[in-house]
Amino acid sequence: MKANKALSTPIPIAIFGSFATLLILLPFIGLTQRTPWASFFSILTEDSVRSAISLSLIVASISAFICLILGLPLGWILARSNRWWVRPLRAIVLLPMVLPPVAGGTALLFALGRRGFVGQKLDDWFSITLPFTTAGAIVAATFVSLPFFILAIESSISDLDPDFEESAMTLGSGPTRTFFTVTIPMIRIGLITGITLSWARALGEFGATITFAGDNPGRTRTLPLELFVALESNPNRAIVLGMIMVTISLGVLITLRGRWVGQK
Amino acid sequence: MKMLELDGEATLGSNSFKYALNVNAGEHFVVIGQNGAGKSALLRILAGLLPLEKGSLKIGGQYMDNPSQKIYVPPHKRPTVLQLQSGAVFPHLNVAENIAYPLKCLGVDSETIETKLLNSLERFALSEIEKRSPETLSGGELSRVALARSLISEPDVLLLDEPTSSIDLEASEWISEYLKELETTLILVSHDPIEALLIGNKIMVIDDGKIIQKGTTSDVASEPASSWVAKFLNLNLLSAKAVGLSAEMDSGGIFRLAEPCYGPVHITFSSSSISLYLDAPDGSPRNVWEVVIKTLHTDGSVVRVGIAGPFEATAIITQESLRHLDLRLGKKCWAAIKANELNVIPKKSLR
Repeated sequence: MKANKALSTPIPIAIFGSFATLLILLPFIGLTQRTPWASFFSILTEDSVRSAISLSLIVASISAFICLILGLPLGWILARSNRWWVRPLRAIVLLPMVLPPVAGGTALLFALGRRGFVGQKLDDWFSITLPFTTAGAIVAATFVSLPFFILAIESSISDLDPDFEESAMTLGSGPTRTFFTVTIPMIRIGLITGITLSWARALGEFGATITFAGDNPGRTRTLPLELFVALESNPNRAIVLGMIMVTISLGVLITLRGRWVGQK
Repeated sequence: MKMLELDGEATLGSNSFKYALNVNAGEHFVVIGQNGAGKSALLRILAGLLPLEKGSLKIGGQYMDNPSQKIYVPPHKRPTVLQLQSGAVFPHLNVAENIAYPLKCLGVDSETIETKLLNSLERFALSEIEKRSPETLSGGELSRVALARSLISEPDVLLLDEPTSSIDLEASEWISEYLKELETTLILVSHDPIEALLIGNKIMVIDDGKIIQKGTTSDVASEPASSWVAKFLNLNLLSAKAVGLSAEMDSGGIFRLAEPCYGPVHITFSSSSISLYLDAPDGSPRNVWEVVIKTLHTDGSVVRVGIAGPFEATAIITQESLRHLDLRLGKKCWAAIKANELNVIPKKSLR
């Protein structure tokens, strides 16, 4: 469609809009420009890089799975319950989203760390120690990514016309069956969005992980930690790791395409 | 046999509802009333989506809801199906899967499901589109899918919230005809007077969360409880078979039609289109019958006159003509309707 001249973009808006675009785009250009394409694949196949990539994929995937199991019921409660405590509960649930990850990691440490009030019990009773283990990295990643999943689920359940679930019930379907045969299939787009968002957030998690789970190569040293370490010792490796993460992020955007990008 | 006995109260937000109602097996009860009167709430109480706070509800002699005895049977265990106004055909299932859904919930074996499904698809003329996704269907097809799904598990009571409100005339006539013949106990919320008279043998009027009137359609039409009801039911409906410009009523007597028509028809005409005379009127070609006055009810400045001749109908005349004609119960007079005031609706053939 041809732009309407009377409604063309005012010049100041065009200028500042371009600045915003540049601010986002320039770092990627810088990264691409400095990428050592010749040694890209040899760096990619270095043991420490491969281990960081596979650890990141494992941590992010398990964390996204835990988000699905724990976040789906909570998202349902937030969307459907009208009790007084739902509003404060929503605020608490969204806290990790606005909380600086370092603060989140510190909080986790004092709750689930060895000396933490829960962590101590875990250690005494079950000999479970979270810091410096992959499980700890998964806990940290889940802590920061759960709100993204819950928000996606809550909004898609709120958008779902209750007519469908009510009809299912009068047609003979109990509440549990209704949840699995009507609610879940009908919010599948929200589920995919939620899983993708929480997975991507978990993949990029740095602050809470390094504070709570520490930097333990092979166990907690995920892609972002590996990148941070490499930045001082081996900038080329840091750039390659950065490029990997940019590629993954682009993949996430493409997955969410149609829902968050493009479609007006 | 009493199929349904309700005497109870419920609230939803700031609205409260107090209903007392008995429905016999096989009865078709049409619920009418203004928007927000509480018609849908009645259906929700019966289906179990809106629990009672006081009183009780029995369906088929079994308590479904009785708060004082702590009895509450949840919707999926009641012998009722509530079909909501939207139809709520599941978009993630195809036509056949939608219709088979209730049977799957009941744990019916797959062979029986297959048989019942084939039957239902054929009865509702959906066989050719059984694999289609709901989003590709027309409004009429969707409403047939919803009805097929509501009936496949053979509920004791079918609760319908305006099943024909969002579909075109032809599709809605098909549905109306189907429901009229249905032997299932039916409680139907309707906004359409023709549908109400066609499907229902009884009518209840709901206003402000209460049933203000209930009875047979002719009872309610001859003595409506409010001006709104009077306006809603200001209509007569007859069944006939048309051959060209004349139609023979099922109850006897011939109607002259303004336009030729063939086959079974419904004929509707407004109560105010009937004129009453003491002597047989002559002149322009009219439909004229000798009738007997059965009921007389004054409603403000007008009088509703129940007449019986080759058919029963309600006429509306002014107080002045009542005095002029000196009408009394049991008196004979002549009723006339102009052919062009008749609304002729061909019946859809149901296979």
